[in-house]
Amino acid sequence: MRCTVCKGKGLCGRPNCPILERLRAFETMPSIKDSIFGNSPPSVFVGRMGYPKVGIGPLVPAITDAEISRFDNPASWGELKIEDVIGMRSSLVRSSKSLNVKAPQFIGNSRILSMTQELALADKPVETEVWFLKPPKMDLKFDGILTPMGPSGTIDKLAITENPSVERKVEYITSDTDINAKLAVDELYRGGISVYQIMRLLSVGLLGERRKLVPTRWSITATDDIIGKRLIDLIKDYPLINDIELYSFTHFENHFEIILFPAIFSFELLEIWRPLSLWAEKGSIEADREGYKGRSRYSKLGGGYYAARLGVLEHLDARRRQATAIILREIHPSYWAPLGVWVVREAVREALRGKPEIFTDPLDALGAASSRIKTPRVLWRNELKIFDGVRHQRTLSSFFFLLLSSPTL
Amino acid sequence: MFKGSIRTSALRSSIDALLAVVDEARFNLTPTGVSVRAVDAANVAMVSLELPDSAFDAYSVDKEVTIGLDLSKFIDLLKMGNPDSICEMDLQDSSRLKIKMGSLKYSISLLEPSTIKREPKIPEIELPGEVILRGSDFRQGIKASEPIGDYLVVGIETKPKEIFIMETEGDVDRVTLELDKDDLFSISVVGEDAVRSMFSIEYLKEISKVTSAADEVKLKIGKDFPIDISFAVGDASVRYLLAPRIEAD
Repeated sequence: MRCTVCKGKGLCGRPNCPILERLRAFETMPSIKDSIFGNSPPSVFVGRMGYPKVGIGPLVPAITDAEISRFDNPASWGELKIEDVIGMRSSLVRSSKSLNVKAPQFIGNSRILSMTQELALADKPVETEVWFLKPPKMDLKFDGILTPMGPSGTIDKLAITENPSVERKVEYITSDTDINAKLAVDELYRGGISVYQIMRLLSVGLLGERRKLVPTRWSITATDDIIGKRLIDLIKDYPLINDIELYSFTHFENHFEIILFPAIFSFELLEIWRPLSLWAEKGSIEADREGYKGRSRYSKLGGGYYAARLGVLEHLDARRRQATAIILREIHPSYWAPLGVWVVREAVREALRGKPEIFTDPLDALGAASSRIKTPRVLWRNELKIFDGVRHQRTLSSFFFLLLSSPTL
Repeated sequence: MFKGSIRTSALRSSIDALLAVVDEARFNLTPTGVSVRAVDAANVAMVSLELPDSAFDAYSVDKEVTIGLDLSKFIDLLKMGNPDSICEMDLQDSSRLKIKMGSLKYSISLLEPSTIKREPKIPEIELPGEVILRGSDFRQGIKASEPIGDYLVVGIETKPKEIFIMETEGDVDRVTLELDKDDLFSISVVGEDAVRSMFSIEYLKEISKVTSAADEVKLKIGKDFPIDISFAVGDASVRYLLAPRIEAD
């Protein structure tokens, strides 16, 4: 069905018309003159168009909100609806200035860069004023990886009208130019800094030896991957969990079933995009995985793979246990606007905070999980390779007495 | 404690054989030679390596000792030397090994053996099927299977005659390698029944890279049972045990 014929009557079968919803979000946007003044959550954005010359600048709200800090903290959006997230994010005006990604290596070269960096360092909202070359155009940007953003305009002048508060750990790591970016990310994470702030710091070129601006969407996955790899190293030394555990959770019309098996670490993510869901008119089923030895290629599932993996790894590390994790993610048509990979990260984190159902037979666990998946099992069952491995692969110790101390499935 | 010299290429192929299964291992240095036994983290594959003193140009151990080696680091370093050079090793204490290859001299730190996964006891097993084939044929069977699927059946058919098979079935495709008596060094089965077991290609791939250099590879095969793969490279002998995949619903 063509949208021009339907005009929002819902003939395509989607519960919401994405075009109308987008317009509705526009209506709620405040109009913007050529300057705005407000508390940045704090939030910054680095674009990727035109790389290595990219747009960089703070996100400043066109409204005042007492709880502005949560506008850039997806970990606090658990109770919201899709519309709420879009409404909140659309009020953030993106200001940008085009800079070479190597700009952080030349000190004193750009005031806009240094102010954006100051903002990224902050742990509390920062009073910011931006003057634009022209009033920002009404717009709403969606993307599979990024959190939605509102109107954008080119920066003429930028001012931070207060001294941002910066955590000691952040100040310490960002001022160290002898520590490489991976170690810096690692140190910050271990110091209790949220992944969202680490992503900001990485993107504005405040981490590592030879510092560069990193487009926000790349900095998100890089952070998930760097932290993930380190957690995997730790987890490989932990004892296995005892039972098969099944967790279930729905977040923003994304349904998750997470099965943990008492086996050495490996990870599999199955994504089922139901027909008429985003990106997938006819639906799409894809899976990707990594064994104990890890992976070298970028996942075909994109940033969501690394975000989901991080959620699982954090859980295992907190319990000091090792497991094989299989995640089934079903995306419903009612997920009408892409909100970014944080949806996956937070959903997995939240799911694993719940109480698991316990199983002894992997098939029973899969049966229970698939009873909550709307797509027929026959369509996706063959994609689960790690699951099959867990079920069918025998160990030597199930045949011989090897005198080994490690537990096996 | 230990002094030995051996051709660099021979040492490299021994380390490669271990790397097919593990990244680090305990080496037992005894007066009669070096032995290593290790099992992977998943307890699916086991490797044992016997490197007798005859494999070395010079070999002496005055006191038995076990050392821990990071194999990936060790192989990288061995690759720096000329394969035809002689690798001279000198162990003064169990934490540091001196290596000399031509004009290159290394002094490398060793792993504390107790931090490495415990050595398995090698089980005594008797299996009904036995095949001796060329290492390159075994490699070909596995290479052909890699693009087709994730699992490989290894077996011996008995009717109408004894044939060695390697077969992989993917979602849509299938590949079979068949070798009869004339293509093999030997083939035998105890009893009249066919034997077959299924294995993960991920493991076999690594193992067959090592065995491809061997003239002869001996496979012992059972019914849904671990496979025993053994071969010799020069004076060194290597043996793998790999647990099967069993599809019983």
